[in-house]
Amino acid sequence: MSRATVGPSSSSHQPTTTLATAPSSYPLNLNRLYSSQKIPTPIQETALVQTQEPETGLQSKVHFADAIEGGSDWAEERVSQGPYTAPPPRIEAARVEEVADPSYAPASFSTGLKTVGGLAGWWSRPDNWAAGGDFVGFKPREKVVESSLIEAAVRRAIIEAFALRETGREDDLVGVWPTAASNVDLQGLLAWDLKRAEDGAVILGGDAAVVAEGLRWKDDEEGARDHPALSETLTADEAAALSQTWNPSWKTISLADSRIRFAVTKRVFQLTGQLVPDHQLASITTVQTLLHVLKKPPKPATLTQELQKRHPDLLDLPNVTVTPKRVTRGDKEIALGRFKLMQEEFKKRDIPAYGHGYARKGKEISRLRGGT
Amino acid sequence: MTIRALEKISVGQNGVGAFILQCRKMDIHYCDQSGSSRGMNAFIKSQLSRFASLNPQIEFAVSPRPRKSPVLIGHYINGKQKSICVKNMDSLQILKKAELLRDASGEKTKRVNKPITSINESVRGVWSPYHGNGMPV
Repeated sequence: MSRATVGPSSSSHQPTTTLATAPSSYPLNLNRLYSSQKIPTPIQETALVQTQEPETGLQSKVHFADAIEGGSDWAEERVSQGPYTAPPPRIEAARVEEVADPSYAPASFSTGLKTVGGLAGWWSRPDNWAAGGDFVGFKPREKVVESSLIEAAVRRAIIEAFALRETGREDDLVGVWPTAASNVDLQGLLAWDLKRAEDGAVILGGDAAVVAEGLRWKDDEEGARDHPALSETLTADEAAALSQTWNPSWKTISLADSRIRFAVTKRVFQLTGQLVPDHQLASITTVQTLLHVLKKPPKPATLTQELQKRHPDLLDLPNVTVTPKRVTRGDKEIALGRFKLMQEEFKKRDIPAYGHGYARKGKEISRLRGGT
Repeated sequence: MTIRALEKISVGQNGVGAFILQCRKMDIHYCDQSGSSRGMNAFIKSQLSRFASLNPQIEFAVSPRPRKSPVLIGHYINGKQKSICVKNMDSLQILKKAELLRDASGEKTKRVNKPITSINESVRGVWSPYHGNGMPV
């Protein structure tokens, strides 16, 4: 037994391949995942896991690859696609007929063979995937709460929706619009003299065709996938300064048309993350009512926060104490001054001052998640 | 001359001369999430500041107790405490309960089945079988 066959598939002899083949529709680096023939059985996999640590497994795999392929480094072949790194493609040892050395005999049992590792725990390793993932949602990651920025987003949405209508592209009102815009473009757009005429018509005060052209969604556009947040493009102060110059009649623009209303609320949601609740949609008839719904300050998360913000008189009373967190037994001991004495006694008896020392907290939870 | 104790000439009564409120502290517990605590949260926001300023002798300790029913706990100067669960009550009902705790003495509630209670000794004294004319059987 001068050379041994390698890895989990040593027992099942397949036709000689240096690379596992898989359906061609999958990317090359995902071959290993989708191959139905080459996946080791669970028993073999667990046997591999028992004999090695993840890192050492990778190292020994590299060594074997050197031996077989003559110096090719597997680690370099790992291809990253976005936040995911697929495992390297699988390499199989040469068949008996292919080996030039006449003294070569394949191993008939696995004792003494080097194991090169499996892929168990591949996706548990944090460097193989990013927690954030590559999901790009319609809603921005950060919700915009500044009222001036919300107002700017509403104005932008109004201009864009009416520009599409003016150019006759009604169907695009319900489509996805790209969000990328430079600061200069955005400021120029927001500075348009948008107003409502006497007869209710909307006067955009700019070239609608240019804006409508910019609203065509292109799938191959890289910028559209990773668009900057609205607050990065425009600061709240700039938006507030701009809003001083706007004609007040723009707030009376009618949103009674449901297509326009949908286009505007959808666009505002895309730009700011502020979603108008369904039950309030019917009551939105003008820009003013929309702004009233959107610019509501967020609810305080806890009662203590609300007291600090809205009822400071209660906190000023000398006979009232408000605690933001639960008052525990330990807090009561500390307030009495007994905790120090207890700690001294604990120290004398070699007992931990906090917690139970040897016993972990939440052991069952870690077990449920697959830990020990 | 034998030593004689001072004779008791009066019994202390709260409110004669000085009145000391028996309730010294009130714990107010609420939960941020649960619906049973909605009335309690409203009580803290709307009623408590007035109630606390009207009763400066009482120390009010407001603290959350997550996932538990809202509770009012009165602490009394005799060392006892009295607690009232106020789940699902509205703020005015809770105000009534807070007044109840404030006015309580801290004593255990006892059954009163006599028409008159007095702290004065009986002028007739306690009956004794060894005194008087005796009773022929």
